[in-house]
Amino acid sequence: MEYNISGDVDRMRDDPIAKVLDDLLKLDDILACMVARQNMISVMPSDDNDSFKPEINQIWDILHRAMDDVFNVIREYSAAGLAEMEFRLQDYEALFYVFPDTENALVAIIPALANKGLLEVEMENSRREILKIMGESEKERELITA
Amino acid sequence: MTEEKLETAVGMSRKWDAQEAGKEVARSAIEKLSKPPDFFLLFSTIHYKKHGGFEGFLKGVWDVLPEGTPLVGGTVAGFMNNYGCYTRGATALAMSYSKMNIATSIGHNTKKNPKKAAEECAINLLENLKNSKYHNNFIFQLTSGPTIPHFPGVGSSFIVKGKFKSSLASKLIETSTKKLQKGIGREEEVLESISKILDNSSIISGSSTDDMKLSENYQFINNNIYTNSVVAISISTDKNLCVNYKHGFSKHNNEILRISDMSFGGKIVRKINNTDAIKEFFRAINLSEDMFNEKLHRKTFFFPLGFEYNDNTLSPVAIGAVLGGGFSFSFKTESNDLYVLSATGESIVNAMNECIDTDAVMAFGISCCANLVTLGDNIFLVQEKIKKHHQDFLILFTMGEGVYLPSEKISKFFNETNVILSIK
Repeated sequence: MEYNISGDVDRMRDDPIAKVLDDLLKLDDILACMVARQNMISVMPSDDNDSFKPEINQIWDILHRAMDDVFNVIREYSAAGLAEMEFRLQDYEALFYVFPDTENALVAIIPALANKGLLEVEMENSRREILKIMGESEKERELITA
Repeated sequence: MTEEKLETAVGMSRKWDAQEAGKEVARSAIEKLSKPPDFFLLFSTIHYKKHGGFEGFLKGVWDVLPEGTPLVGGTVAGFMNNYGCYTRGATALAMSYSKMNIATSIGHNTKKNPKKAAEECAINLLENLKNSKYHNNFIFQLTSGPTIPHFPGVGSSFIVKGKFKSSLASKLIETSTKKLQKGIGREEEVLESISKILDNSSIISGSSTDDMKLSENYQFINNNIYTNSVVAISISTDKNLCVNYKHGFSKHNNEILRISDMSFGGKIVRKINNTDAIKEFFRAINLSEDMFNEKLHRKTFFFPLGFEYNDNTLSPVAIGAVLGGGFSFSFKTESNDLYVLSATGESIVNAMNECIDTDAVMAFGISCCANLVTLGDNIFLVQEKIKKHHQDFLILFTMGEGVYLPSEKISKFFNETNVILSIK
């Protein structure tokens, strides 16, 4: 199962997955969130100008590089059941919630001192919602090609 | 003639707008009932403060809820119900059944004078229970939980370092709590006083909180919003009511850590075994002192301290603020002899599951928000298991958990514990 994604901003605005990310980003301690795979951010929150909270900008380049390295591992082990990964870099943590059997993950950047337990619950809710959307999208595609 | 069925329904909203969420949470609960609810318990996370406010939230609820329905509730860290697990949103429990008497009540200024607040709250409930023809009595109370005070020159922090700052904070915390109502919750004192007046009722006491930042919390009663208050509902019915409580902790070892210097009735611990309390705690859990930072609680939730009540019930008590060489507890310990406790994710999950009576019509209760922090998204394992047995259930994540059972005659307060009511 794979959600067919483009980086097109107009499309993201109407993308139901972007709406899920919008909800997640409204939480104070979610500084950035996205659906991504290696070398590609697939879906970002729909308000493209403010998709990341400003404090993330100064560290984004190094975070992004580190994220890409994590996606190597996700690609390798997703099929074996790898479900979650995380790393801490300076004052930030990146949480990866992998979509089963894909190379894609829901990624969130949070402050290192954020209450991760509370955020994990909402990350899991978002992952479930996105999986549902992906499932519906897959069904629609099957109907069109049938 | 068929016996009247007790009807319960849990509602939920994930909408961001406070008023819309209020409408949805009320509608989604009461539309499942065949007649108007006899009471309505309403809870939300703190997020509505910034998205329309709690006035708007309650307005939305009352746009839908029949006028005069007894309502109590407040802010919590999160909740788990038949829909899922959430740390953002609103939920409600509505119940209708003719064979029950209901009363709601409030006590003000719980941090300033918990005994007086408890008496104010209990007196209204007592009348209802006295005049009831039913003998199974239950009280749910939600008390304002702790908030972090801001001290000039010290700031607001879980960890206060430096001799001067920590000494100042340690001295000011009692004054701040009692005078400004910013500080330790004193919920166990409220529970103790209420249970002395209403000693024939089973009581569950939860602590109202925000998203664990401990900045603010709110309590609801009917269409009013308060803070630093206790709100309560009493239910007297012919149905069997069963309250179970359990946590997943046991003594890590038998070493006794004896409190040797304390203040604020044991809520601030300065010395253990005549050594700085925090140093002694670190030694006992074999934690390096370089872990002494704002992330400390992520580790210590697995290794809280604990004490024993007179009946040997072990009570986990999490460390609150670290004040130089000492620390605060969120409630007073009943014994000066402390133990290091430990748990695993599995034992925490098992304790939650074991509190649920699978034969009951409905389960409603509280679990410590520290359980959420330790389990994270593994909390869904518990939710999925409970859902197999209960069409409707509601468990709130609170900052502290209290219980009083007439059979035990001791009011008990805990952290990291589950207290669940099952109605049969």
